[in-house]
Amino acid sequence: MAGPRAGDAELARGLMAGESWAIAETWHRFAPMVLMTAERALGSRAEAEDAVQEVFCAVFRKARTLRDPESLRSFVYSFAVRVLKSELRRRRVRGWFPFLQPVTPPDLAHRAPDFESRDLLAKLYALLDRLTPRDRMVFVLRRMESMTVDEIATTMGLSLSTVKRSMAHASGRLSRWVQADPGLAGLVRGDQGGRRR
Amino acid sequence: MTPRPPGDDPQDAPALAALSELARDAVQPHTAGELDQGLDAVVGRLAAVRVRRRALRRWAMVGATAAACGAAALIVKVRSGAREGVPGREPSVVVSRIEGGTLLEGGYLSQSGAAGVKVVFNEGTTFQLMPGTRGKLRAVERDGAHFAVEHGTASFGVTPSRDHQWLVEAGPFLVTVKGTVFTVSWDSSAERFELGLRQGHVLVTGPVVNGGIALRAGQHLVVSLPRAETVITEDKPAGGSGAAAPEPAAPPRNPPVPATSVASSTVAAPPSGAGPGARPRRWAAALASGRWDRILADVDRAGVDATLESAGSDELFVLADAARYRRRPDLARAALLAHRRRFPHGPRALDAVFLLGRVEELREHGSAGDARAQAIVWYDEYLARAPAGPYAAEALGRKMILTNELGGPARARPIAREYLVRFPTGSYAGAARALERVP
Repeated sequence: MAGPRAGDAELARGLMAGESWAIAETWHRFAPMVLMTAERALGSRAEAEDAVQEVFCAVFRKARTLRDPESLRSFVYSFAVRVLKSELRRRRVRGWFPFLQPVTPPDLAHRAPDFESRDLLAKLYALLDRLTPRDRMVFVLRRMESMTVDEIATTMGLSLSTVKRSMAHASGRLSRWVQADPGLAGLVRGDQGGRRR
Repeated sequence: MTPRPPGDDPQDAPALAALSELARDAVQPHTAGELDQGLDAVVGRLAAVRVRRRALRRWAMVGATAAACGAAALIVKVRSGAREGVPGREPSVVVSRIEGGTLLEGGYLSQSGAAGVKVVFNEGTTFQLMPGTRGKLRAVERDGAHFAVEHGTASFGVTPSRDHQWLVEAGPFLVTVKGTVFTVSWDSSAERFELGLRQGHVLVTGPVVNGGIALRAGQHLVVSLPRAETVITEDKPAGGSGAAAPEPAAPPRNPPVPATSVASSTVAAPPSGAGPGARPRRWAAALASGRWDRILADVDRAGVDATLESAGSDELFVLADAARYRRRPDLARAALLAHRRRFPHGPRALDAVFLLGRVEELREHGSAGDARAQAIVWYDEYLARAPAGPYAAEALGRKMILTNELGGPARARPIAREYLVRFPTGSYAGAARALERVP
């Protein structure tokens, strides 16, 4: 029986064979990263936890479809991106129909260390809500998760040019919106002086 | 992920770059406890999906005739249920009132008086939070509600119903409820979980309680996470007072063998019907329903030595579990040692070595001598024979804790470092980091 020392390929083979140790190990190896990505993408810890449960249920159910055991990490992340995009799409639909279940406000903002930062984060997530789910995911993976364009293309199943186009689109629109909000730009300038460590 | 190379994508406005950085830094990693809780939830969801799939597969195999029969049977069942006053389909569950407090955004219950908060549902179920308890109504759905006790004590009176399911979280533990009356406590600072069951039965899942523990009326479960200790005690039945009284275990034909004299107990002839052939099925049922005393009574009747010689590998584990939960560590130890002697190459041989360490730790409370040192010996053997085994993290964590207790931080620190390298998100990572910080 393998365990924490198993490589990704061995872990993937354990999952494909339905080994229970592999389920626990896969969770402990990848869930911390996926949870953080999900929280940054959704802006809510509670929603991130729900989404990540969905991700890993799908990973464990579909493990047998993994063709290359070496690519377990990409396999997990591709499920994560799919679930997160779908959650973002659901949110947009809910936003169009106010009589449906209300959109959960981002609670990530509450985790910021001070009042100004909380205000900034709330505004950032309000702007992110205006992007399409794909542009938003590309932006989050690139700017908050520091993934390369190649990695984003592989994880999201997009071409390099589509990722670059999506990134340019998201970055351009967000930059314009941020600069057009004098309060926000001012807060950031003040914040850079005061908050940075 | 690799660092972002510069210049391969557009330049953000400085304000946007600063905002992105702020969002990145605001996210804190989940604690080991939260991760364990998440894993439990995923495993629970997978099990539910498997059950649904099995049911679907079964249905798919049934032909059109059988389906018609099933539909007819369902109609008959619903009608007879209605005649008996049991509705075929229960109405949706909704909160009918909240006494002594208000429901805040996010489901938190805010206490307005000094008597705690009471949530009353339309079908009669009540949740009562004791004063000072922090709790959250996570979800109310058609077929039940999901409640979380973050800190403190809460009582639950759940109206029995086949169609409803109630879930109560307390720290990393999940209590699955049908119809029952019970009290749950979670002390987040001491990481201590407590459940007292007055009526019905519940299933408790979470860390330490491997695979879940079924409790029945009158039982009291205490789990201490720092000690990795699970103890079930039983209330005395209150003079035959109805359904709440626990079902008494069959009286032993021989007087119970004192726990301290397990190894030297006499061999009694097994009574008819209690032979090895009948035992596995009965013990499996007793285990599933939390009737640990029934298992122990069987052993006392048949004689400890005779049972230890005739029981199979799984039975010895069941016996060890029952003895651990009922605070008979010597009997648990005897069962595990018997397993080690009789099944040295069996699939659970290494599990027995790890559990022997756990049992030695339990013995510490009731016996003289340094059982903790012996526990470390067992953990060392487990780690040497199964360095990547399923209990490796637990064995190394317990070894670290015990070494600290016996030899101080200086001796425990190398183990803490090894633990953090091998299991950086493990249950003992917090304790290991704390040890590293101790001067």
